[in-house]
Amino acid sequence: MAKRKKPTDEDEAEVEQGEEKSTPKKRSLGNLVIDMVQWSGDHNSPSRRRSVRKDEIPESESEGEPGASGKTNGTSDGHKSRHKSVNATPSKNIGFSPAKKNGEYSIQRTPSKGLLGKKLFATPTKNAETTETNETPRIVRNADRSARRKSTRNLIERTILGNASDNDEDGEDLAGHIYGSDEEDGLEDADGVPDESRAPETPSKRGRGKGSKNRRRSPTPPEDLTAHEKYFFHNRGSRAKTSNNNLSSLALLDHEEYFSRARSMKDSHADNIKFLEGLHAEDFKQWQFELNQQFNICLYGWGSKKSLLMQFADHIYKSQADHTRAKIVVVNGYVHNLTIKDVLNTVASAVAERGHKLGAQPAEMLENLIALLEEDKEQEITLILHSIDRAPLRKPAVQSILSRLSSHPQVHMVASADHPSFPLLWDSSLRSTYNFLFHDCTTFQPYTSEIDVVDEVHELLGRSGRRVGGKEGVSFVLKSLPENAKNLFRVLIGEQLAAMEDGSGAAMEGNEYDENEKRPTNFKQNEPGVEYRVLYKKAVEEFICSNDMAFRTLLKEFHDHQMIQSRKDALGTEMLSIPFRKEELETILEDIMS
Amino acid sequence: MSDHEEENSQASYHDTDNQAAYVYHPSNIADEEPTRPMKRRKLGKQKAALDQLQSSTTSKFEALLNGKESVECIQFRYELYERAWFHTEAQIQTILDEANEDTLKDVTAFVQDSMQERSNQTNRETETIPAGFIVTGPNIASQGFLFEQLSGHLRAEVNGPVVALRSGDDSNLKAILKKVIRDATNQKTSLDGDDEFTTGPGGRKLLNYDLEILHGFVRAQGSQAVVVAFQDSEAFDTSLIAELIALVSSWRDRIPFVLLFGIATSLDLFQERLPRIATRSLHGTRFDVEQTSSLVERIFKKVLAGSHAPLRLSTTLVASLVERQQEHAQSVQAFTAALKYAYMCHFFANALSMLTPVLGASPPYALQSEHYEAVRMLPSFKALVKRLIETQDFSRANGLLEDDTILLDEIQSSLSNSPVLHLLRVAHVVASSSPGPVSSIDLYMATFDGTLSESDFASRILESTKRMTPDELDSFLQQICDAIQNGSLDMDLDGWAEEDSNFLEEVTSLQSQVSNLADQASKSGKPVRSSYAIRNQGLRTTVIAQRVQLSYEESTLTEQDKQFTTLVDKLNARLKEYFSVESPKDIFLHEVWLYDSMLPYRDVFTPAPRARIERALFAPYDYLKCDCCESVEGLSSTHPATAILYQMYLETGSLINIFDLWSAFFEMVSGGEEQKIDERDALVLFYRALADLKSLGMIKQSKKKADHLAKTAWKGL
Repeated sequence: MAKRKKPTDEDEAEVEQGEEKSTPKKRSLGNLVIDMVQWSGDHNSPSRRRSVRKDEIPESESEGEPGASGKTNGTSDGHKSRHKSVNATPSKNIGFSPAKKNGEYSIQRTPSKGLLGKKLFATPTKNAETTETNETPRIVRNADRSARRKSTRNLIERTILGNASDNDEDGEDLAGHIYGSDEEDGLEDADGVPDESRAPETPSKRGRGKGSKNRRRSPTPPEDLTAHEKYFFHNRGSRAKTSNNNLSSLALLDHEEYFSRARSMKDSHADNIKFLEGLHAEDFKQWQFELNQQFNICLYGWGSKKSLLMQFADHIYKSQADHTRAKIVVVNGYVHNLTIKDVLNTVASAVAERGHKLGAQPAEMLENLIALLEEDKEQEITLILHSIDRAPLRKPAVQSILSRLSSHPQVHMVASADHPSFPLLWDSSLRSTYNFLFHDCTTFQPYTSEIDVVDEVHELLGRSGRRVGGKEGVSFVLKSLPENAKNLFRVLIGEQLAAMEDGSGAAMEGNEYDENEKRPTNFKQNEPGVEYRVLYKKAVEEFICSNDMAFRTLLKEFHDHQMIQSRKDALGTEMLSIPFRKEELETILEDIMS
Repeated sequence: MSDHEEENSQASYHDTDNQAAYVYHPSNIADEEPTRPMKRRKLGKQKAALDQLQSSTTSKFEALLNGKESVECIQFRYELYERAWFHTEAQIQTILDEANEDTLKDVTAFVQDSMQERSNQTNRETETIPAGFIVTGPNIASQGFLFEQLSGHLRAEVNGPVVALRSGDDSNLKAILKKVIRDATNQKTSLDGDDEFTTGPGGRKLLNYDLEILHGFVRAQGSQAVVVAFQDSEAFDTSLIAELIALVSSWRDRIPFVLLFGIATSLDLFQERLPRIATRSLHGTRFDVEQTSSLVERIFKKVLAGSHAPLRLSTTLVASLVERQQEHAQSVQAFTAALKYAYMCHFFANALSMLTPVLGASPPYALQSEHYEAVRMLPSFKALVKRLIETQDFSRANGLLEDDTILLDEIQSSLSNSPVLHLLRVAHVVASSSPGPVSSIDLYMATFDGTLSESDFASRILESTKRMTPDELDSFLQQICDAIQNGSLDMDLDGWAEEDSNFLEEVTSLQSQVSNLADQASKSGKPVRSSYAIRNQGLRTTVIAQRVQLSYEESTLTEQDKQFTTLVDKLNARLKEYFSVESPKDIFLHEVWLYDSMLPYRDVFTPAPRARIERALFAPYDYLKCDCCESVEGLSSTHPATAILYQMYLETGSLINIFDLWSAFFEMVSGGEEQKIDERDALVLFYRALADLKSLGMIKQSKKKADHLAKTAWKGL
């Protein structure tokens, strides 16, 4: 059975290539959501596909043993015969293969032949490889490579321009054919040789030194795997099959539209959410008692707990008799520029009305603050801390200071936590210092103040440049800048576009090379950017600026308008980039030039 | 930040939303009801006569019994809680203090010795710095407490400053030195600038991390030791400690340093981490601290199994508490907090907790009729009535059901004879007569399960008596008598010879008979054994001729042997009877002193945030209870947007095409052809849901493909 399914799959692929209108969706079987939507419009193809399958099955059944390479398919007849001959007479094959149209096939096939008799996952012996390399004519390899390169470029262009999917046109088919040639090889081999994953040893690629793996592994597990091996087989990373649709047809929201629409929208669950909050509010008395008993409280669960906590603050305020001694301090943990010093200073200002200097180091500040608190034992501070687990407060040093502050008998802390893994912030020592009681407060309220929805989503979509107000914003800013700045920006765009050109190619290769996202750093590096020093050199060459100082001043202007981003790569070199996509960059460049 | 940020989709926008931290003054408080002047009550303050209205807002507890509970009762409950917990907390504190006392004494003696040694060496050519290594074990949570005690103790006993350092405080040598000097000289911190100058002797300006300042201070004060304690030395950067040691040892001829290290792992490991040069300049003594497990057991014995314990925990709760203690928390503080929370829950949420017998508390007020109703609802009351009916005592059962005064009598009598005391006594007898060491926690569990007589503890004792010689049995019986007469200090049990005179008499009479036999045996020179012991010996000696041997031994039982055997039988029967105690759950009104509720404990101390969040998203109905998505799990167009997207997220592969996700989402919310929602509005929802998922750490931008998301949770499912 395992063997049988493969040929059908492959046939599909091949038939697809022939079909004019077939869409890539067919392959995205793994993606249910996408399937659900897209199948609805596409009624023909399944049936057509089925018919192909019907034809195919008896044939594949007729194949006797898996080792036999004999495999029939209308479209791949030519390959087939050669394939056979390869198996029959390897030495001869090498002789004439360069002359053949698709010489690469034979080259790639030959090593697999050497592996034919071997058992599953056996490493090809060096012997076989070396002879292979030696015997392969160099010219062929080069020729293949250039063909491949050309088709690669072709493909990349299409993908980047985003208007065509792989199988749209016949002409592209050829490119896809060349480009995906070793993939197909792998598939054909898969029938005969289960370990086509050995294909990386193909000589044609060795020359480049670039490790090239076959790109798709066989979808069905090899037989006689033990249970645990089967588990890993099923859970291995594989290339995700997704469609090539992109968001170009969708007009994204900007802040204005988002907020105006969000405000006028009505949540059908508003009453239920309100009721839920009311339920939690019934516990206020209990929480107050718990705070009173030197416990601190941590609220978790889905939904913003901000309004609930503010209600609780009101509740506490109302129950406090002496508002000069008992203070409530609210900390918004989600505010980006929040520091622990802000927290300590605010608490201090609540204790001593006029400004009280605490010192510079947080630890020192904490000690002074505690001393200040203990001057008056009746003084009580209730610390309401929204989102204790958001980025500004995540650092261990900050958490340790917070925990020690909260453990003081005159300080009562009520915190909320949003992330599902927030307990990982604290080790046993911190946890015991915090002395938290946890309450599930699922409110279902939207995180309106905690999350800047539009910015977050645009970051997800890789369009953080929209923050400036899109490309219009950029050109607006540029108009008000001196000529030098404009020129610098132009240079930067040019460099970045060049880097993108390289980068996307590299990214493609990277994809091919590393399917399962095991090496995130790989992809990080592919993010296009311009090295700081390179840009500086360019700028000096073009007489944009004469010294580093002036260069920095120019850059600062861009930074202030969030038109560029700066980050350190793995080696610590500073990379500058403009947070826009390629097309947008191109239009900006045109704007500047005009 | 963008200009739009201050706009808020929910009408209620506050300036404070984007303020990092501020002191809260409610704006809308004026139009609420005017706040009344109230005072926080302190413990032990006598009750002020409060009118109903006032105390309903001031009292810390809520009115129970459907809000019909009277103010006095609420107040009484609260005071009862304070008293009960105060009592227990004091006991725990005493145990903790005692536990560390030996260590404290040793360390203090060590510091004093080193001072002594130093003053003896007139030439002041000390080669090494004295260092104390305090092995605290893995319980880092209680290190803080220990070192607090330690520095307090040392300050009182030793002439010289004590500085405790924590790894989290400072990360570089300069900061540590500053802290040492600041704490040692007890100066107010310099507030202006980082490197303030202090005028040293001779008008020289000294930086505030110059040990010369400390030197001057030591000379001026005549201090004999400067103790620097590293609370969690493993967490410090090794090089930092090494540098500090090097520095300190170069000053050792002028400043009498003593170093203390708190070590959680082991001394060897710690030494390995330090460079040779640092270890060479130290000479150390090792101190062991009592480990958490034994401390917890002691605390347990006192506050849960102790006779004065106002509240006891049910066995299931104890089991989970102990499990968490052993497998996760490993900390006395966590144990105490859990115990405290049990107390809090009991008195906060149970109206009948005002009947809880707390030592030294005044008897409860007149009960309200609601209280009687509540008592009649208790399972233990129902069981009582059932028992009465089974014994044909209808009039009494009727009285209990109908007449509050009869019920009150019953309540009072059942609380006054404290049935639990008997349990504890039996447990103590078992513990003291058991042949091997007994884990008091396990014994407690067996006792409070009501399975003591079938438990290992009982059967082991019974087995052991059968094998004893008369002399051994004699001392065994003596142990029991002693246990009864002296009680147990650990459990606050006084001797109860008078109350249990029957059993005691039986035991003593048995004892005298046994000792008689033993006397006779020693006179005659023939050992007396019970038939059980003989059989055992017979079995043991000759295995081959087992059968023959046995019958032979049986037949040669002497008269004394037979007598002894009957005595052992009698004792066994009596002990068995004594050990079979009723389960506390069968005792009337056990709900008042036995806390048995797992849920609050589990929820409050061991939260499962991921499970809760994902459940909320998976089955919103569980929380919202709305009509529209009643009990629909999974995908439903009526669910909140984030829940829909989450559901779709679960069904995708590891790479998600955003456009396809959006079209699927739109299809879902708009209901296909129906167009229930405008596309742009749907996009708003989509944005929000996407941002939510991102904040939950489930997705990130994928670099592999344009407009794709990478899944970061639930991958490959």
